[in-house]
Amino acid sequence: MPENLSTLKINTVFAGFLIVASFIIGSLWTKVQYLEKGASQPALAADNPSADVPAPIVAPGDNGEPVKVSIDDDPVLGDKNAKVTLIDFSDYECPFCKRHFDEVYPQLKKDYIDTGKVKMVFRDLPLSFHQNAPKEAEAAECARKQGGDQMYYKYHDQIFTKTTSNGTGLALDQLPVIAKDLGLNIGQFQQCLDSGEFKAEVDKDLADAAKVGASGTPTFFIGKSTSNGEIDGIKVVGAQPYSAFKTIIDEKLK
Amino acid sequence: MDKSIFSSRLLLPTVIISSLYLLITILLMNRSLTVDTLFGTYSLDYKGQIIISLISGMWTSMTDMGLFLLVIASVLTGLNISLLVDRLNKLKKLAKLHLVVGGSSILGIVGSGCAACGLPILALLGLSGSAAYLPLRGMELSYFSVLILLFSFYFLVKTDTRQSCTINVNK
Repeated sequence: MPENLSTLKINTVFAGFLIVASFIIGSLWTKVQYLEKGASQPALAADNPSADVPAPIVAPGDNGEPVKVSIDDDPVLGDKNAKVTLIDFSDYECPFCKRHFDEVYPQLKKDYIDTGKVKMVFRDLPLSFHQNAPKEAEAAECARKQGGDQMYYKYHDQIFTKTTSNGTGLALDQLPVIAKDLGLNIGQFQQCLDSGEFKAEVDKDLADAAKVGASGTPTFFIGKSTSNGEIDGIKVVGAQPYSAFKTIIDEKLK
Repeated sequence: MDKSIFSSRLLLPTVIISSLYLLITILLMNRSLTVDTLFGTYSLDYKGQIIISLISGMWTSMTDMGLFLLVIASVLTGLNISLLVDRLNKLKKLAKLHLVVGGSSILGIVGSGCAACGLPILALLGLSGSAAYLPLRGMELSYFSVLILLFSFYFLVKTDTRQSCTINVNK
């Protein structure tokens, strides 16, 4: 019996040691990753003082009820009078957002947005551990300031095409280069970017995301369009396949 | 070690439990959509298509490592539960099942299940965002689950149910 007890104790200590060791190795690994990329300690989304709405204990919409989500004053792609609205809370440096952009977005655009059935609204949810994402979001807004919603989406497409989406997948010095390629006024663009003119806009999207229970990226809300821009949206989380979007949109179009 | 644990008798329940675990986990990641789909007034065709889409979405909405860990955790959960039920049945047949044995086994089932839940449990509680506070963005829970399940599996395999006492020849 004492022998069994001592074996049990050794096993328990060993298990505890493995758990603690796993956690420490994980922490060190992350630290090394960030140091290699020249970034400081990753900040958490909740640390952002402008995201003043605390993450809810039970996220809205997680009981299956549609969530009221506004398109706010964010850029619209497609017919403004389209029957269905798709709101995309996204992050330019999130690999799953890029996967959605590469694999699903072109088909969605061709079948539903370009045909006037669906309008897409891109809202920013730059996670703070994706170092370059907030500035990229601001840059897209600066492009919109000069060329409207159409220019916003041209810029949006360029970011997603060029970034490797790993937090610093697109060097910040490439942002004016994209602007130049798209024919924007570089002086105005740079001034807009440097002054942080659209930081508050990006932060508002972050706060709104927390309110509607979008805690990760990409998070989509799909619902019938309304005159005030607020939809009762079904929440879809993650880089889901085209078939998931098609099924929901077709149902909403009935 | 009890060799019977490798019998094909345990294969079917293991496969069924593992598949169910995997399915539930995948659907919990999109809990809102799943609840809306299952309980909403939609056609069966719509419900089927959404569920199939979400299942196929596990290839696109998870990292390779995340998916690998989830599959491992599912298989280990299936194995653990099958083995525990099998062990309970054996003890019952041998009239050795007392309250304590049954109680600890049930705790074992619950324990192994919970340890394996990781992110899905967080998602169920609406706390998936809290995973962002962890250095590996919640992946720790998957590693932890697999570790605990491996321990659980090891001790289940190691335990012997033979009705005999062993003699320690070294003493």
